[in-house]
Amino acid sequence: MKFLEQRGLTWAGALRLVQHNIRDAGLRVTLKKAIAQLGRTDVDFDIDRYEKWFERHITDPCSAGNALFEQASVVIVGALDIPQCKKYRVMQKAEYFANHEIQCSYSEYRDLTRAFSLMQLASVVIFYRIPAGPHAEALVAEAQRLGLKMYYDIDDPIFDDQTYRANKNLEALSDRERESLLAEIPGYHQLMERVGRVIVSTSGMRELAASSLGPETEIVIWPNLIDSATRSAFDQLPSTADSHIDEVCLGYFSGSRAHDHDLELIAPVLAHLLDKFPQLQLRLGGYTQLPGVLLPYQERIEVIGFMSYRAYLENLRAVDINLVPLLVDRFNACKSGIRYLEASLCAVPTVASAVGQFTEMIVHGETGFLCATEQEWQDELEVMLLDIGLRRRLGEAAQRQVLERYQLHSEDFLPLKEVAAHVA
Amino acid sequence: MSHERAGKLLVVNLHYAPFSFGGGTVVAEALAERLHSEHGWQVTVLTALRDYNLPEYTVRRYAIKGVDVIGVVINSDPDYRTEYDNPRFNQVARQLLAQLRPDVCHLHAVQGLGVSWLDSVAAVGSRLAVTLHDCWWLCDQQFMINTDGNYCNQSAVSHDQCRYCTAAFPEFMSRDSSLRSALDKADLLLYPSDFHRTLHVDSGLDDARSLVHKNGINFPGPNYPTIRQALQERRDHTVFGFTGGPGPIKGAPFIMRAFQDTAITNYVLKVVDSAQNLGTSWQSSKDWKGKVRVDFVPAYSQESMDDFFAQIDVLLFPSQWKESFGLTVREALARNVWVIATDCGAPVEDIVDGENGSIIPFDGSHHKLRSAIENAAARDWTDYVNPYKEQLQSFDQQAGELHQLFVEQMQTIT
Repeated sequence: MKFLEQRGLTWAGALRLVQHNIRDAGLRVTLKKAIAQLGRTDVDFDIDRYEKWFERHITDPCSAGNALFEQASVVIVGALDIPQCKKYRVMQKAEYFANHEIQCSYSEYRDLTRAFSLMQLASVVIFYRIPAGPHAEALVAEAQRLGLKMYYDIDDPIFDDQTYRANKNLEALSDRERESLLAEIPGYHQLMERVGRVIVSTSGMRELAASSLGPETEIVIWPNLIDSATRSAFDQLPSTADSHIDEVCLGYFSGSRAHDHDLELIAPVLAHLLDKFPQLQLRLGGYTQLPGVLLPYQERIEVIGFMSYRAYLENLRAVDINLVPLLVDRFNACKSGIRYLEASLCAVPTVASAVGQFTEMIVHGETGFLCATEQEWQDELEVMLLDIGLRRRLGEAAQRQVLERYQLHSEDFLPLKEVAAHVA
Repeated sequence: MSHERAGKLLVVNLHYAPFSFGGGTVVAEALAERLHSEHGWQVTVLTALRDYNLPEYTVRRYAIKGVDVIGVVINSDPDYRTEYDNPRFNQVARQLLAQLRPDVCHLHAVQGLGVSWLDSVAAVGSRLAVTLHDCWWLCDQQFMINTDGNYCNQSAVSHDQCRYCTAAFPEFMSRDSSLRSALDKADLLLYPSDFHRTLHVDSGLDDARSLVHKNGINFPGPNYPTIRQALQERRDHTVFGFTGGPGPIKGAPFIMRAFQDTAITNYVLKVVDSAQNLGTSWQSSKDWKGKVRVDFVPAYSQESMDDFFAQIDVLLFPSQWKESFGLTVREALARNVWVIATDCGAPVEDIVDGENGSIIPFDGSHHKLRSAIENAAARDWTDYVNPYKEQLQSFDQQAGELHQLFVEQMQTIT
């Protein structure tokens, strides 16, 4: 039954399909095909048959999607398996378009049945982070057949060999994982050039894409923002009293496995501060490995693994200072400031490395601190640890800034209006 | 195509090219193509596709002869309710309307697609025209054929009679109220013949919005007389043709009985396997079993129609329901093919009995059909020409009329 279900068939439909095949192609070919189908578990949709149908019956070119439809309609076809990526790159666009009464739907790229079906009534398609391969080939060909305006959305420098290799955190991966990631780079690059229009998340990404892809490729920035789901989760957090006036807690939350080197960067500073201030606590969330220099302070270090988004916000809100150490390199120059946005929503001040989008968002000394050297990290953190008033002022200013400027709803957020108008 | 754009038209029909099937579809296609190429409309078609390779309700868009087509895959046969209220189709139709924003939406046959989505037509600022090709809007049997296989022959549909015919009267009433309220939303109700309009107005549909919009046909190509003459010279018997398929509605059992009863042998009966256009076949039907020899001929298209009619002398049209138009009858008349038809409503409006065809009584018997067949078999058809061809209307004329109607509709939009 599952076999039929995966192929969207009923028993009767399957029987008729077999009958048709026998009539069109004969028993031998049909049997061969059926055996081939039985061996396939990954594909829920037969691209070949779909295309053959068109070859057989239709020779006229389709009208371009935006010429046919009065109202723009966007479909996002992407790799939706990583929740944070789906949230920031797919769902935020879907929410934005829905708020502006533009039809927007989305599909996992491996689900070709759904993706193809949605593309038929679209005028714009955004491919989010799909790797080169048979799925991408089929999707791009179909988008071309339908005359859709195509975009390729990407939020990591996975298309630029030099930059991607510069990411020290790759070392945390196994050889096999690393090699397979690196081997995909040329495919991404070619796909982006072929699609011809690229959406990126930060200005660092835009610079990189511009130099890597050449002048024919149009590049626009669609930033990561605070969306209504984040707002709602934040609004639902239980209210807390300031219970730990004597204690100060530093927080470090990493999104993925590829951040070990980042924490190492400030480990000596943290060790020094933990040593100097006995009331200081450290909370580590996400995937972290405790650097060796911090081992003596384990009693004051709380290590929390991966958690739900709400638990993450709750933990984030409970710290006094949000730490975002990042290696200053080509890779992190592309980084978006999500971790600043989320902490600021919780009115928690951020100290971040002076790299990527953090340098655009954080107003140094007003909404947080930017540090370029170990010494700067140490100085800024010490100042903040000693001054609860400063922490509050920075946190509140950061929250104001984020609510005003970096919400999906912020009407005066012109960059988003412009990019949205470009897209649909 | 130097015309200014007249407007945006959404045409909805159950079938569409390349899966053309039935007279209504021929009309829908002919009008869509001409409104696009001759009158400057941007035409989009919404239709159902049968493709067992694809999951239900997936959508595919393509273009054919300048017309964009949105096909929704519907492989399963709809149940009673889905036939007029199909939630999954509604979703596609509503999205398409919102994006397309047509000026006019023109419905043809929509059984299986349903009508619930029509409330969105006015909401996007579009006018709504419905062509009622058959009795589907009034009758859950579609052709007013009783469950005993006979035409119910009501001149105005009365629920007092329908109650005794339908399989389930409460469901029938829900259907009736849904379909009538859908038609209330229409700005224009179009009928292919005066007979059909009268039936519907007498059955309670709005007189003022009801108009006769007579169907056109494709006239034969310039080589037709030569091809026909060459074929006729090669045969010494009368060739009868039938296009209606199995089942009692179009009269197949009457034809078989008539030939079984007759003593004549100098004839050929050609039956067109039109179901091939839908990827299936009619040939295995039990209706063809018996002593009578049936020559099956492949389904023809509008393009290959001349070749079929050139092969036959007489078209058999013993329809057992009152037809709304009778496209095949007109196509035959235009090609100098004699027509033997029952007195079945609109088809006989272009037949002059004894001069270009034989009208036999609508009496549920095959005897008059048999004698008409015998008379026709005895006749030499060489050089026969239909003297009344001028009263037939072409698709070009019909499309011109429709264009005018739609332009007038758009002018009434405030």
